[in-house]
Amino acid sequence: MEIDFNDPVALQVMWNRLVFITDQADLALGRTAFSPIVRENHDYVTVLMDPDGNALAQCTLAIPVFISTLPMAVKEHFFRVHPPGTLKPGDVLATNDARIGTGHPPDLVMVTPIFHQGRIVAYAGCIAHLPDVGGRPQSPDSVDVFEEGIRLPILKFFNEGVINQDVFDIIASSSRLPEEVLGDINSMVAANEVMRREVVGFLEEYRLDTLTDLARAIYSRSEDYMRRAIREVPDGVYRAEMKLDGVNEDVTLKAAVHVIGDRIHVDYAGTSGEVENGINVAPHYRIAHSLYALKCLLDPTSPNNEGCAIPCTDEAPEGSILNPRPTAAGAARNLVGHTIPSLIFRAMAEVLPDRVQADSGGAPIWGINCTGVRANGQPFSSIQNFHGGQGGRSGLDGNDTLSFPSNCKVTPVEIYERSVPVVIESKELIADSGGAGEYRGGLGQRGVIRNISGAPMSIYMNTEHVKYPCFGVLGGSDGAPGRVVRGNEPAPS
Amino acid sequence: MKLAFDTGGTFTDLALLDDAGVVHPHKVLSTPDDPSRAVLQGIDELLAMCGGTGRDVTAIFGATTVVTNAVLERKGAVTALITTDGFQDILRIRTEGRYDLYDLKLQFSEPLVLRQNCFGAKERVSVDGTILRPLDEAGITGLADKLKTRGIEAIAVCLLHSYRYGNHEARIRTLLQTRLPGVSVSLSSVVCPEIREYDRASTTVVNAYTRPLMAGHVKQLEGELAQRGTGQLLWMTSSGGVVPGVVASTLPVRMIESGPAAGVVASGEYARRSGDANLLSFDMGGTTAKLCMLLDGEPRIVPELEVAHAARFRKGSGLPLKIQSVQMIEIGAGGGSIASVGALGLLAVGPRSAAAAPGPACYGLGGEEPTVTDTDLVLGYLAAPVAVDVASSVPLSLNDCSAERLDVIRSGLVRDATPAIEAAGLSSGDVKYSFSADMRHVGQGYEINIRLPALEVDEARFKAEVAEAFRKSYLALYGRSVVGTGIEVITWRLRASGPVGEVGSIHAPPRADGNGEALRGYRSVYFSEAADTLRTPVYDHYMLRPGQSIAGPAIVEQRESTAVIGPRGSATLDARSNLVITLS
Repeated sequence: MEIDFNDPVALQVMWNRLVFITDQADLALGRTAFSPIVRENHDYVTVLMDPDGNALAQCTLAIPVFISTLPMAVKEHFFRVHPPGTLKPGDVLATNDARIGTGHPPDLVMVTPIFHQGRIVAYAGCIAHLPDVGGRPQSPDSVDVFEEGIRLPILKFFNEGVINQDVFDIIASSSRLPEEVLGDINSMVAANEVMRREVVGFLEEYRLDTLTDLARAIYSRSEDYMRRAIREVPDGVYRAEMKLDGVNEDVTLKAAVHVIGDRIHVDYAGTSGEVENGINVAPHYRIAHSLYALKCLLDPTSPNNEGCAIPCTDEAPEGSILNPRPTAAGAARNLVGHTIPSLIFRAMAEVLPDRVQADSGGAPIWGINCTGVRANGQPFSSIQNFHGGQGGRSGLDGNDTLSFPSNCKVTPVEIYERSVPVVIESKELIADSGGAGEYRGGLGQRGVIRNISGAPMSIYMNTEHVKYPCFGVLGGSDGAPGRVVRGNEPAPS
Repeated sequence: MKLAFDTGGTFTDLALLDDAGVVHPHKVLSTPDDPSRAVLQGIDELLAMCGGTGRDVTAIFGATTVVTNAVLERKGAVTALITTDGFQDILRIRTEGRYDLYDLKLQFSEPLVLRQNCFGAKERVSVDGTILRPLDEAGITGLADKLKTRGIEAIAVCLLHSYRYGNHEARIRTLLQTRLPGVSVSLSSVVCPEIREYDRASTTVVNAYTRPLMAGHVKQLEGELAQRGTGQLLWMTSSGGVVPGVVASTLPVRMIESGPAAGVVASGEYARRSGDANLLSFDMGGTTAKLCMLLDGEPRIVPELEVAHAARFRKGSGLPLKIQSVQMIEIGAGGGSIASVGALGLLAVGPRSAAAAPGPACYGLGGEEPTVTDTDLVLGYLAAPVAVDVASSVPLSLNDCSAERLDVIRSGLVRDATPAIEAAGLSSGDVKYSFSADMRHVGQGYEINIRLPALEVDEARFKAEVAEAFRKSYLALYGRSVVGTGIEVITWRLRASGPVGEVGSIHAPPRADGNGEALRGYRSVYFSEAADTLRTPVYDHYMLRPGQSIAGPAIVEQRESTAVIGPRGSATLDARSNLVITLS
């Protein structure tokens, strides 16, 4: 049977199926994972890529920026180290190299080739935030990448289906939480296997040899739509800048958004230079946030794939905090990276007033990482996330306490207290914290954590917007600044 | 004879099974201000049509959207929520996750409790049950007065770690009930004793919010039916079993999907009778279609559900419920769903719907956009057994599962289920217990439900069988097994069910006295397989005789529904007048 990939019904049905396959893998990963950050916070993604490493479909609920980093990792790095011709069925490749993946070592990037009729027809990919990969627990305190944990280059975790035990042994001996980490890795392998099984089943059902024609139809429609959307924005250069607390010194981010016909280019010239501490943003992480902000503004409805990204590019000066040297520290790169969408929205506020939202209290996530050893000698370590309110939107107040631009749920209090010997004494909304305006920002929250272990505990803080609060757009007021308190005294944030 | 009804938003459907085994359907307009009026009107009319009286009716089964609609239309009780102090905003803080990645304008379902009606109880229990702060009882008594002046009609209580340590919740109920007679108190440790406080609070709030309404409805109907002398009224739950009125009134959240669950149970019964019990049931309503996969006639029961989505069909935009429910996939393609060309030039069906007003364009009532044609499946859930689901969270490693401990847990669950079973009028000899466990690898966060073998086998074999069943099920679900990690049970579940009713044959009401002409005429119908319009015969289902065959293309009309048989299909009528279509 000849399939017309441009038939609006056939294409819709097949496209939905690919999205569903990634969602199935998403479920397998989350439901079998061991660490709270993966299974409760959903700090992971599943993506299906074509044989050239382009993103074809992604799970519906995900961390938006992981999605764009995966294809970049595959195209620029995996292919170079392990050319497709050398891969065999049953191979599973992975790395946690921050420069290849998402800019910090806890995120493991895993890729499994999918063979059909002896050929690679697709790649199953996933990224998950492992709870501990050795080194200094996630925080801005690190000063180079080597301090941030073990660094695994792109390795074969499985070779033709046979486990590479050495790799797993090295990971286990480098981590404070070997059972959780190995369990999560196992879930990632399972998720990729689910995608492999389902893609092969899909090809057999439709009697297809490859996904090539289907992929082309998906990309071309998506790219066309994105180009049409950009064309509706008047040509011009739209600029904005913002200030962040940084670690020891303020950080300035600048963006110039160039709209040129049917393409768009973001230039971060004028942005602060690389800093000593772990808030430098690796290029993949920056690019992913640029693409994400543009997709939200211009094409929020169509399923994301490589086609949406083609008309959008960005650049940042070499040596800047958004394009640092490869060994620069970046464990807490989200403290800067998460603010990129707000910066782009600010730049576009005058020209797209009905679409932008003000700066959000979830940009960045506040991650509170409690680490130590229990009385029985068992190490513990787990991150609890806190999100402020979403920025106000045209016609709508922002939602209270919302993860944006990331999409991490928080670990339930009852689960977090099981993982870490603390009591969370309160978690409540802060009145009037959202930033006033015709449409106000969503409310932020106050959380109180008490150490009940009877022993000292290390708490690594990932915080921002203490000095410079979230900004409003189009006349809206700033939100309330953040505050970190120990006992009754202000504490270093 | 037996009766069944399903209260829907627009229609209340009824069915009577007479002693000859014939099903008589009936339909009346719903009366949302007092749903029992339509039920009683329908019952009286149906009995009159069939020449029976209330005394002939041995049992009545009810399904209802009363609970769902109370939530969707925000017509429930004025409800207060009591949490551990410091967590009063739990319904507004939610999970902090987003259900849509790119939609900056996303919105969530508004909580059912106003912020000013959320209160903190000064108390705290730690993860291991230590009382870090005793319950401030004076604070609760003081709160009772405030609740009274605010006109609170129902109360939900959800304290941290109460899934296991429910004493403070129980004490709060005692303190409030003496001071607030007539106000129902729903405890999270009773409604859903499961870890994860937001889900538990959300479930308890929905229960509290709908409880006065459902309790009143049950009481009213039971009173009216008693006057008519009918047999007992039993209610369908979301998990596909029926429960007595006392359960329906105190745990109404379990009834939230009662109508759709009834449809699934009926599909399973039809399938078993036709000899093929592996099937996909399909139930199309006005704005959605619901599908369920049944293996061996049994639907999968899952421990969660979500209602009142702010964005249609987007998981995460509504109110999460931790209740046992028949696993269904809901898609935005019902009879009223509007078909359109999306931004990418692709066909989209739904999620917009023409709903009841203006309705599909073909109704001629002002609808102008194309919708999927209305179809409905025949109502029928007469075969559902009484089923009471109880659960208990007692985390236990599989290795530590001794026969004695299991016996204690199981006996506790049997004890919990007994009042409801007795209220349903069953004698203990008729009750079948199915004991199952939600299990996972040690360290994981989500479980899968495994049915446990008989406890009588020796311990080693019991453990081996359970471990094997878990591994098999895990592998089938996730495609990969975990080695070297122990297995633990988090929640123990017991379903106590009565015998499956003997329903005789289910078949269409015989309209034909054997002389009618089944062929009504011909219509021009478009079939994509033929890429053309074909002259197609139209048959009256009720005039066809068992054993009769029809070649496609054909249309078979019923009063409730229309079956379209394509050019590559053919149909026969089985012995019970079911239409069995075969695709070549």
